Amino acid sequence: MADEAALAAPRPREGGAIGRAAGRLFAPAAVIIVILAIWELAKAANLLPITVPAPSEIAGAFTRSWSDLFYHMVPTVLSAAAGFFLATLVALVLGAVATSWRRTEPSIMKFAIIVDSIPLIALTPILMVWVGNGLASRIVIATIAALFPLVVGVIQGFKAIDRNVSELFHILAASRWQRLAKLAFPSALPYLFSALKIAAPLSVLGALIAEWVSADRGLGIMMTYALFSFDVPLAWLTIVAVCLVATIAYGLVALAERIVIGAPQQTTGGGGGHG
Amino acid sequence: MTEIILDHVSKDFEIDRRSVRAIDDVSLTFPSGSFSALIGPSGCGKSTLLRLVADILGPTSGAITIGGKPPGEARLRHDIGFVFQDASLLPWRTVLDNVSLPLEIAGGPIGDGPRPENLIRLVGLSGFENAKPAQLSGGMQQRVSIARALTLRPKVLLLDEPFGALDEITRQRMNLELLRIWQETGTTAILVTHTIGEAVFMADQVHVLAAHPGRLVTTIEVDLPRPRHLAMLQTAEFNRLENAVRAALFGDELADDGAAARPERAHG
Repeated sequence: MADEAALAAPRPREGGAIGRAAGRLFAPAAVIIVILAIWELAKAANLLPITVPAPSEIAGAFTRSWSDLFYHMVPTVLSAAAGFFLATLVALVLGAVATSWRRTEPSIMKFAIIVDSIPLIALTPILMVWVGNGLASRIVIATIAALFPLVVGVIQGFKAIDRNVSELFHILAASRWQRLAKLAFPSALPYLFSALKIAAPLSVLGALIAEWVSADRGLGIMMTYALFSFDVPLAWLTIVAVCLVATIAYGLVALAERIVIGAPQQTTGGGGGHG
Repeated sequence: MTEIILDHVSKDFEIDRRSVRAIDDVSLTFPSGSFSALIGPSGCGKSTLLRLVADILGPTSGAITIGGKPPGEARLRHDIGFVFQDASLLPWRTVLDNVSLPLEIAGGPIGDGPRPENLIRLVGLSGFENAKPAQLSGGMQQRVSIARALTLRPKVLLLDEPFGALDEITRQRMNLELLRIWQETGTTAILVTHTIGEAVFMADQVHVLAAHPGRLVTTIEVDLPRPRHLAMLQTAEFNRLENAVRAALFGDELADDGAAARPERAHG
């Protein structure tokens, strides 16, 4: 007993969390600063084409048009977020159906593959005709863009159930719903979060594509305007903004993952937890 | 009373569209409240036999009864506790929540069933209620899994090589504790093992199985007094029983040792 207890003592992990977070941020920040500096110098030395502005010019575009930028950012974020949540919901339902009734899985996977292989840029105008060119159609496009990795992730996650634990639920005479809520869903969570992290930036991209085709407000239409008026720094500013929105979306999912599942899982197994 | 009876039970599996006989005409009786061991080489179907009793699998022919009723009924009444070879805990749940899982699924305790906290004490894990499985050693995880199997006060406790992955010393300790728990709860226990000493030490009857297809060779009655303790491992009686099981497992291979191999053996 004594030796087992010694093995099991959980190590304190809280100490210096902020310090380590700062340490983790420092290296990537330094890399970005170095790249920006090289970029700026290259532009000053006329080494870059006219279509590539210096970082300072992009910053200039921001000070010039930041209110425009945020004005256009709102609907993009809204339709991306709505599409992301809708896609998650659809994927969870499809995944639950595919796992509860195994025979439906191939059909559901084929459906997901077909939906994913639709060229969004061509579908969008057609959809606009059907649903109208309002927010609804942009949400649908964002949903479609994010759907596939989520369906794959949910189905894979629901299948990642330990065989013995599955037998245990059988012995306990668990209902279909109990099996789903207490076994399949928690087992699927790590897979689900991996899929969500892929899907979050995709839904931003979907919203953007929809706005390229038709919108009166949104980062996509701002980008198109900037390109047509050959305002190169502004076009780059919108690109940076989209990158930031997508990165923040990813970051929020990663944060949610840490809150729900906790720190990255240690592998289970004899004696784990030390080292 | 919870006597378990296997009456001419056979089980076939479909492998590559070929029917393979895993268990061939096994008839066994596990008396109510007894501790029995199933021992045999891999492929003798001992785990399959346990899964037939637990109603995870259905027999191809023959009949199984638990207290006179089919296993399906016993399962739905939550009369069956099962301990797997690996602890098979839910890694996202704490020790307490893992032990409470059967209660959640059954919708509350069965009769005056034991409280999860008491079961955790019974398996010697007081103070670890809020630990996650990953923080526990293999032996401790298996204790949690035993506590979980007892939560609904099962009349039948099925153990599928529960300590197979543990080292010898931990295993001996766990076996002693398991016997203590079994005597306190009065369940009918069936232990699948591939260790001769463990089978003799734990059981009232050791059923020896042979492989391909899985079939019963013989049953050896163990008349060592209870409670069992480690000193018994060194007695002549214990050795005699071990040798009896060994003889049943290896048949005339033992007798051939040292003697000239028979010609037909040379072909392997």
